[in-house]
Amino acid sequence: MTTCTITDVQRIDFAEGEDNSIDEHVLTCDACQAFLADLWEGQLSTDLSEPVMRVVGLEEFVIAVIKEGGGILARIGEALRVYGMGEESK
Amino acid sequence: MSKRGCATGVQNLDDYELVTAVQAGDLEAFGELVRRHQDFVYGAVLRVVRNPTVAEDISQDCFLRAYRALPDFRGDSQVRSWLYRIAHNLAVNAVTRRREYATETMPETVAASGAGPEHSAEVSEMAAAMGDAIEALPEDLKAPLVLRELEHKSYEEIATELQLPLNTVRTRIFRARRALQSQMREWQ
Repeated sequence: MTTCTITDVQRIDFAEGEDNSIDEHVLTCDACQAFLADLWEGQLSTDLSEPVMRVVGLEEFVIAVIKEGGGILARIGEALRVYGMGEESK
Repeated sequence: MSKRGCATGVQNLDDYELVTAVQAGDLEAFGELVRRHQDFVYGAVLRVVRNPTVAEDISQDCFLRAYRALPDFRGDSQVRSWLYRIAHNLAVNAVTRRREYATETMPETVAASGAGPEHSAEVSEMAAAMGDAIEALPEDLKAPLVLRELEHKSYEEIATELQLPLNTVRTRIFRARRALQSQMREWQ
């Protein structure tokens, strides 16, 4: 394992977009990524896991339905029974 | 570690254990991976696209692509490194597409960005909002930011004045700028 020679100042310049010369290096350097992970900690004000997991859950549901084949109509019927259809328009 | 919502049980697993759990069908483990690396992925994307809203969208896309690619993840690199590569590629592609679009639509864009009275009022409102956002910053971020952006002092001068290490000054200014970007999102 080689030692990273990039300085913290270079890393911060990179993070600020002022120096892209270490772009390729950062792609594979654990030390630089660890520094950036620490620098970027807390930047995001929302939790992305909720929207991401909604889509993932839906994808898994669709995959499961497709795999079941003949059970598709039954699953759709069950979903309509559980979640209703057009309830909000009443 | 993330300050946001957490799932019990999977928190003590390392990244590789989480990946193995996801590959075995444990969706909760993937949620933990997202929570664990979302700040990093978002930071990597924001650095390239420079727009918080776009960065959030691309970060979500990054995790969805990672989820779909997880069955093929063999652990040859760290999970963080793998995510970084996906995020970086998505961000660079987004910027490339945006540049192409901007080139195609530039005449209309320039014409629509006039500098009339409405524009002036908007600038004034934005300046006031910026002032409020700076005022609301924590003191340890506000002081170096004000010295840098309003008094145009060098990083070295700020470090001397605040009696802080140079790297600390740069880090705090970086965080202050990011905090302001987040606060000023609606103006972008």
